[in-house]
Amino acid sequence: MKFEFPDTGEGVTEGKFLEWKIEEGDEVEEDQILAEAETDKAVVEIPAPADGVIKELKASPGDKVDVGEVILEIETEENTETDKDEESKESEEEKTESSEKETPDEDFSTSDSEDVLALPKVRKLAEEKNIDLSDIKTGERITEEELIEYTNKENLESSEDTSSTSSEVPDESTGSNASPSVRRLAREKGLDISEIEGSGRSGEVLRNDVLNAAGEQNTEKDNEPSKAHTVESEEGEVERVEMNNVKQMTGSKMKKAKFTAPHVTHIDTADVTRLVKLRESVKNDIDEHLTYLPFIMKACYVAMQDHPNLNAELDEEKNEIVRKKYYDFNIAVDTNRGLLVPKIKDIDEKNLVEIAGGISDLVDRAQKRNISADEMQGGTFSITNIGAIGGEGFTPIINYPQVAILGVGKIQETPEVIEGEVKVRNTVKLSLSYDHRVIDGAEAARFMNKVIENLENPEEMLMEI
Amino acid sequence: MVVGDITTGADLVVIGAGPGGYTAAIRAAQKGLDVVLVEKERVGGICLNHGCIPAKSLIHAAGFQKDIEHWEEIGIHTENLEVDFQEIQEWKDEVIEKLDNGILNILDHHGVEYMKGTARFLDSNTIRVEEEHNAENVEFDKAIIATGSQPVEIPGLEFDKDKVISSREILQLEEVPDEIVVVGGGYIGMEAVTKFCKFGATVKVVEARDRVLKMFEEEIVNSIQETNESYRDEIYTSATAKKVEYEDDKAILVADQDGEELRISGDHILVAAGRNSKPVLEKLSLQNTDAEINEDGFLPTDEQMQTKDKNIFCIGDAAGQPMLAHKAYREGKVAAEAAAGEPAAFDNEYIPEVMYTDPEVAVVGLNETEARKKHDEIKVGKFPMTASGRALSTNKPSGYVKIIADSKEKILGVQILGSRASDMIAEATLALEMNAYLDDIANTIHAHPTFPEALSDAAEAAKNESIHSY
Repeated sequence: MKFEFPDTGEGVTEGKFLEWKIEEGDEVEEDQILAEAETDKAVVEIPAPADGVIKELKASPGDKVDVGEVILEIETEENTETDKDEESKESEEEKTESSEKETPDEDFSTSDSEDVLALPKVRKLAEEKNIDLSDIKTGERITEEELIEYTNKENLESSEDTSSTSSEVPDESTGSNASPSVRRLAREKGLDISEIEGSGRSGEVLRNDVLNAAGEQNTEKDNEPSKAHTVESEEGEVERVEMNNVKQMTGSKMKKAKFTAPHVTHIDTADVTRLVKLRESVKNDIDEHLTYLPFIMKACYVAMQDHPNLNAELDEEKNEIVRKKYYDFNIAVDTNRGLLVPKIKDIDEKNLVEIAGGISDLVDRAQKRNISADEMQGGTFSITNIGAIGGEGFTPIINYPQVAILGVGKIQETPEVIEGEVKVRNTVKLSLSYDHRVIDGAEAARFMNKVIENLENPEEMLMEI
Repeated sequence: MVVGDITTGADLVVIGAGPGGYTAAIRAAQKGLDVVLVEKERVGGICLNHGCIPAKSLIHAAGFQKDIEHWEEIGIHTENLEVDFQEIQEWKDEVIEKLDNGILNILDHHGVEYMKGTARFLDSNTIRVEEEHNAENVEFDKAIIATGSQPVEIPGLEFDKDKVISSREILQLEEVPDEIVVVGGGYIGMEAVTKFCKFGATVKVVEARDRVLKMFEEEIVNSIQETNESYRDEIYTSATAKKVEYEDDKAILVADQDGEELRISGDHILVAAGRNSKPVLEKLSLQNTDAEINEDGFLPTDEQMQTKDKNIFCIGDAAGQPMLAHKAYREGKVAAEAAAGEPAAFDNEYIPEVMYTDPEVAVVGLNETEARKKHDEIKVGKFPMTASGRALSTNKPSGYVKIIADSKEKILGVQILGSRASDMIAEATLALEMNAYLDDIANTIHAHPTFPEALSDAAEAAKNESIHSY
């Protein structure tokens, strides 16, 4: 089988060979890393397309190779007997598959060899459901909804076949798991019932699930500032303040998080003097209001590449850590209704300016009560930036079922000892609360070190993203 | 309404006053819309005037004639028994009249403007309604098309409304014929058997496929045929109707069965080979709008029953299969609410199907064959009506209730064969829409003695815990 240099996406057409990890004559397994190459976006690892024996290496370290150029020949069991035509067809298929597989791991997420546009989580879902995204015909980026719709259609079609299909799939994927009145309620609240997590049998979405999901939205009660009335008690005058929906929701979520996930908070300081200078130097050149938050988000995202457990969830039933290959970060926003946590999607794909734009828009709308529950649910990691108001370190509560939250203090000038001399530097205290069931102290510390390293060397970090 | 060729306006225009159309008009009026309902014939549509209601009225009457044989057995002796078919027909027409008037009253109560005439679209905001002596334009914000369907005509067997008739004329016969030939072994054909065999006619069914009632599982069909010989005798399968010839006073259906020519004679030939919505839709001048008829002859819609034209909704038979009044009722409500800006959607997953044979058949959800294809493991509970106290005490011991659940006991489907199957299926449909499990039905107290008890026994049977059967 001839194996071609795969299309790694993002419009990359060529790359530079860095090193072979195998030699001619080696036996390799499917997905084993064969080589490293560098594109103008990043260093990528090239996995083996199938089990086999390496016959010939056709590229050497330092070579420039184009996408589609044959870089090695593998002898696989199947291709020892097949003729050339089939060989090339097969390698074509294998190529598609291998590049799709690596896509979620690498940071190449907008296209694959078939020029299909889709987010990483959609790709992951497609992989789980064993669906070739290139089969889905849309003019643009394939959304999760489109994939689900396609999957349902596939299931329907395949269910008409005589061959039996797996028993669980049709149940989960056909129709909504909710009674008619609950479905109606969801529509009234403007929610997509298929996106609401059900607490009933087999995940049935119940009335309360819908009401909870809608709780963060601007229902009438939300919009009212907390009502208060004064009561005389024996000891003296007290004021009783009714909690609005947002406050009640925050309360119940905080309680669940704090009593489910054993929290540890790790506190450290980053010297962000260079970051402050960098931001000062660019902020006037761009239209968006560029705060430090996009830098911090990127710093976390980059650090997560080495520490994926920080962007994860714990499946308590199966005792599995669910590492997420998409990066949607919630940010805590203080509004007159209470605490809201809008979600900035695709931190991995967006550049700093896009993230800044996303933040301004969501914060603005959260404060104007013009934000939907969808825009707040389902993030993968959270950042709370109390420093904007004041304070150094604190112990944030995890946005459960996420497993970590980063608290950012105030950036301030502090005396730091550098090479034996006291200097005025800009520093910020970072407080990382994490779920000790998933993340150990050492891992948290290493993650934090990496975040700090990124923030202290912002130019280098920007090279990496 | 002003007479003459002038333009009036409405929030919503509904075209067709059948079950879907009148329901949509009433619901829209309830939601505060100003509604015009246009109908070219009679309010109530096919279902009420030429379908479900008259058919079931006649089946009811025919049932008595059959039951009388049983009266003798249980000691009720009748003498000088006389059945006047014309009086039965008059009674049936009274039922229709009563229902029609009822609907007109409700429409009036809700302030729906009822216009008699034929509508066609001038554009996405205007229809022209042609009445007998004048025509006028009605401007609208939204329109709902509910124009229904008509019987499919088979080449060589064109309707002449005398010898070759449709499901409509068969209900208006003035006397019980000696012999009827039915082309098509579906619902309508088999219900014709139900009625007219009991009235004493011989009904012969010609079906092109290898068995009748292809939409039901073989188990159901076999069971009906075992119970009642009229669904078994004079059934010609794998026979294709070719043409009609006339001899004396009879019509002869000439059919091809495996290369051999069949000649089947009858006083009437009922052609019941399906229904078609396209001819009616084609008269609506939809080319003046953005709505498009698809290749199956329907106006496809989204979940809100909206067609490709954002002002135009479509419901009932014209919107697609299955062509069932109860599907149209629900779609009518959805479309009306959507037109009123509410977040309604046709999100129903289960549409029950009922057939008025004797015993009746009613099914909803997956049958056993379908369930086995989708699930590795299923649970099946079957309860025979012979074990039901109520069934025996009303002399209706035939049939069964069968319930299918997945391995976690979530209900997947229910098939009922028996005297009150059409009533019993309601509980099963509710259970499915509510995502019920076997225990939900088994542990609900069912009044005794009733037919629906059989449903809870079947649910228990699926758990191997039936009390009254084993």
